[in-house]
Amino acid sequence: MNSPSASCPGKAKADAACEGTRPSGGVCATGRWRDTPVRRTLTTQVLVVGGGINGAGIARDLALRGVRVALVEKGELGGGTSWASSGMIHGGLRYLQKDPQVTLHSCVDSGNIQRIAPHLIFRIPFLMPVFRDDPIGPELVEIALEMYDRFQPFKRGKPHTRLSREQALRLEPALSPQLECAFTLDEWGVDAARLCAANALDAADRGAQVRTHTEVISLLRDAGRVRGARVRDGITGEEWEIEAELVMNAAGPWLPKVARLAGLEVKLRPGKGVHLVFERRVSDLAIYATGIDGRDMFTFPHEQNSMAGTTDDDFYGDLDRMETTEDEVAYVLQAMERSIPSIRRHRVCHVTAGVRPTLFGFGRYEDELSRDYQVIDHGARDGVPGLFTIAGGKLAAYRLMAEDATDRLCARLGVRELCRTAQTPLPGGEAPLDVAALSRRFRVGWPAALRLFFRHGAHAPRVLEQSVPTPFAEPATPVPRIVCACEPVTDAELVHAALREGLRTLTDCSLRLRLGIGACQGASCAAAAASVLAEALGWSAEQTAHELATFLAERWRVATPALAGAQIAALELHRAADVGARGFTRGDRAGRGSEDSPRRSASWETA
Amino acid sequence: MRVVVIGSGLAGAAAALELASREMKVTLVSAGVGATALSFGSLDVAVPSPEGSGLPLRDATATRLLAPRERLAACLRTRLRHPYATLFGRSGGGAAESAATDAVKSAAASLDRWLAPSGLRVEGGLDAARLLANVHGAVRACDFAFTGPAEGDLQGAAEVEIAAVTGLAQHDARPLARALAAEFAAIGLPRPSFRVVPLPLPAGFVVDGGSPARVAARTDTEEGLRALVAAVAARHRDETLGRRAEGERRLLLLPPILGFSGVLAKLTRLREAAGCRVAECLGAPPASPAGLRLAGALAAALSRESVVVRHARVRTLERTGRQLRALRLQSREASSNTEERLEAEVILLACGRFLGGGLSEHEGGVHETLLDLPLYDEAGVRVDGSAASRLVRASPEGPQRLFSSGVRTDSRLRPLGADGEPLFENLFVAGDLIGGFDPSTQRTGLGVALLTGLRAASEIARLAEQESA
Amino acid sequence: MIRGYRGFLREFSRTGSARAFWLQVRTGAAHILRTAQRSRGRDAVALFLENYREDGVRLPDAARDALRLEAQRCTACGLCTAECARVGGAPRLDPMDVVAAASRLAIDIVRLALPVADAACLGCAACEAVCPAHIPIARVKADLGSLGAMAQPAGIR
Repeated sequence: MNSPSASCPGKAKADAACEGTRPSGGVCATGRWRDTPVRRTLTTQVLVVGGGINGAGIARDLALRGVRVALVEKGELGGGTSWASSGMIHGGLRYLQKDPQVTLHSCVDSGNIQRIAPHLIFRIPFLMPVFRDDPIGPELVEIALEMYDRFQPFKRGKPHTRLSREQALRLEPALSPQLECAFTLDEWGVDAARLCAANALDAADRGAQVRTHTEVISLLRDAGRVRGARVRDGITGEEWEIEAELVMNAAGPWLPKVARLAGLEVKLRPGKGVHLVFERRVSDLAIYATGIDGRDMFTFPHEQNSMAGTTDDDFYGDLDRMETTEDEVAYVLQAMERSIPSIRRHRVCHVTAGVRPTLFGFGRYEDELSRDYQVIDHGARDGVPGLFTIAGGKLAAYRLMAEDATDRLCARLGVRELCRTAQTPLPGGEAPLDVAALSRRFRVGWPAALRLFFRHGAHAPRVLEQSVPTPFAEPATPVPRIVCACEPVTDAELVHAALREGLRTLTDCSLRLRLGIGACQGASCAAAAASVLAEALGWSAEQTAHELATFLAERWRVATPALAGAQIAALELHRAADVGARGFTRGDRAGRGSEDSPRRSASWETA
Repeated sequence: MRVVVIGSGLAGAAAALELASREMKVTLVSAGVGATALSFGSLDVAVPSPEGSGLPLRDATATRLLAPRERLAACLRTRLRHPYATLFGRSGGGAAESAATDAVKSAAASLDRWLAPSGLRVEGGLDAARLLANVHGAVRACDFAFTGPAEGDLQGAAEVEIAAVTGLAQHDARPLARALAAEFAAIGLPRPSFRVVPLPLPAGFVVDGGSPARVAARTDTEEGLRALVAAVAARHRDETLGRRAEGERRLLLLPPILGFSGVLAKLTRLREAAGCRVAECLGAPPASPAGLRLAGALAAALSRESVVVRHARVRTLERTGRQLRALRLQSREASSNTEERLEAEVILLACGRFLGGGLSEHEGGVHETLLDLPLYDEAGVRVDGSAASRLVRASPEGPQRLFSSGVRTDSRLRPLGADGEPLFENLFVAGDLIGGFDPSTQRTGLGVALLTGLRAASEIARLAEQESA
Repeated sequence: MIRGYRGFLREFSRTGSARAFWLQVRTGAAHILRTAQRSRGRDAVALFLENYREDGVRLPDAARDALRLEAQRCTACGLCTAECARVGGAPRLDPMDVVAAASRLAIDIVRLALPVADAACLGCAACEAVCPAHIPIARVKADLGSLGAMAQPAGIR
């Protein structure tokens, strides 16, 4: 039978192993992801804990310098804080007042990131309206922007423009007519989850061991020294050990928890941020808005949608069960209304929520806390050698942070290689691509071809070759099927992600491939995607049903806080789809009427 | 008496057809389609469970599945705000149950009569549910089903062959087969053997991207159907598949590609070619042909019975005191924005919920779109005016007030106001717009639509008789 | 004019470093000089559009925005696709793609509108008739067509 296993020997092994039994995590022998049939111990030089943008960035830098590295992430790559960020590689305009050096470095690095991953970046023109009752006058704003203009060339940014009231309203009629004048400035946006994955994939390509859904449960100690960690695979339940010379704690908001495993305390002041994600682009421009407490927020384009946000509130709750409250939704919408009075007519599909791992600072408002970062050598600070922590920072500075951290790790390891992450392209960023030709060659529509390019860059053809050669295929070249119409996502991408990117669960697809985050929130695409993944990863029927239930529940969970207007009909259909997919297998399992929403990385019991 | 029905889903269409069969003049106003066109091939009248939501129903002591009749009785006993309680009373014992059973039987017969000329039959009954597979491999216990899926009862099949069509999106035969096997293990009934068989359709039959709707449309053409029949026959004759059961004991399960009309005739040809039972999977979102088939067959029936159908959107309703007088329509046929006035002596609201537009939300919260009728959830708590986000829970498990709310009615299906009295003398309601149940989890959307539509029609007829007397 | 500089003292007092101080002084002085010389009538909007031309940012169009607001009601139910198939409307165009394409502005639409709008379509508007959310799909497509006429079949940056 011409199933994917024909082209993938490791998959055949997984297939054979899983008839009627639990699958073993589905890692493919060929391709990028090293086949590590789970052994008792893995030995490496550096263990990076946390697969967010910092962890992935550090792993990549280490791998590029030839260091053996293992990266473990307890959920999905970028699934902690990174995915919930605003997704902007900005130049640090707000630091001009404090320290222009920071702005300079940010702009230079923004240029670097563009160079290494041009396919993941998109330009966002910002529009800053100035109202009569704003405390800062337009001339001051313009001076700030004129200062910023000096830094723009470092990131191929455009200079600002000054618009009168009439001009601003012509450019964006939805703006509030109360404005006095407006300014535009230029920044870049990025798909943060994909950037994270790209870094991790590059690391894996260069020999790193990357495992998702693998949580550190204890640190291996050797008379005070940290020499590795014991990890548990959240999907299979298996535990094993990783021995490493150095452990880098890059777990973001969870880093205090990891540090505590070594008896150490690292204080953070976690700041929760939510975004509302609209069903489509509200505007091409990112429009500044001011909250009722004077905070700056924006409604900005992001990939195919617009997002509104963000908030910054001290967070004391459970990091694994973060909910978006009615207050937060109302706060954001109220702020947006000041700049865009008609904002409530736009449909919000879902919300994102994440927590920033901000460095601790007492007595200040959340916004004023430093976005600085720290690399802590616990050997020097606490007398616990072998453990490093990286805390604080922002998405836009990830490469610089990773370089700094890697420099320090390499110094400890005695590795002399220099950092090459600013020059080496990320996977897919090597060359531009003729999307029209791609569309013609693989007989896939333009919308799908474009999204393939935006996610995979120059590797898109390689991805499309993974189109499922459906059983008994007559034509030699299998033609990709569209699984998710909103994005769109092809079956080839799903198979590629499963076999060559180490994707392990269906819920991960909403981060990695933007599956089901559009109009239908998974109602029309989740079940089909689950079937495709089941074939690729060798899932049993019970696991497929469980994955589907978890995915749909997660989409429901993020679609309900801002539920209004046209989204209700979509959720009505979503509910019908979810229930309609329930047969006796899922019905029995799901019918317990539990109040709790499922965790993203929950393990599952065998039937 | 001028009767105007608003809504052309199953509730509105059934009411209009029933009224037409009683020689009454009916006009049906339709703004478009809603939940009926998004149905997937089954018609359920009895909730799957009295307690949980979505649990398949099994007798607690026995190992067999409960019959629809028993589930219907359980529903009448336990769900006191379900529209069935309104229709059939809440008395324990036999009276409510036998009223319900009779109503279901006659409703199914009527619907079958109306749809048959379009090649769509209603199969099933209250004595035993049909276990039907959907396109993703979930098994549903259906009370009734339409031609296409209806023939696919997995019970009594020794062998089930799942057709695999190259390049078809939304359909993966092997995971389907595995899912079905797991389902039967969970049900605990004797399991048929499942296997995947290729269906060699000619090149180009499945368009790029694999849209199942395009393939379905292909089989509506004679040439396309012939290709499908040939492929099925080729598989039947295929010696490499070994010895197989014959006749009723083998079932060939096709993806939902049997086109949008004339399914009965197609299935006959396919059955002949296959030498065994042939059926289609139940659909799943996005839309599958089954819903449009039903909508199309209802439209054809309306046309045959000379029901006047206006394609227009109702803007407002004019009233004088407690009487509704007329509707103001915005026609979809004309491209202009002109409004038209349609007089009516009795109005039946059958607009559905959010998908159909009967319920919507604005700054003032959730409300009934046309008349701001008060809305109540399953517990009888008033919900109109509340924000939608407050009426749902963070988890999809468990009851969701937003999706079980609707209009409250008296036993004659007239909508009630906050004081418990009918708001209008000449307004009736049918279908999902009635609250007190969740069409998804309780899987009775079409059942409620059919039964309330027919009951509303008989109430309207009774009103007409009284007025003329 | 003075109002334009309101908040000056507060902002200036927040200057964090000598470098920042000098940068602000230099830029501020240049700004004041330039403002004195600034000729009115320079079209900032044209300048902005020129800056972002290759990214496809264009002036909004009220009719287009109204259409897009309507298109956002899509629940991806698929009835448009099914109905288009049923009536044999357009073999190569998915109405859902049309509705989705209307969601992208600027960067994608320039590259997307042309092939989407070009794809053969009977114009029967059966998709529009069947849409439960009453999205004017035919009008959306026509609008994309007009955009497509302006678009260049671009390569990717």
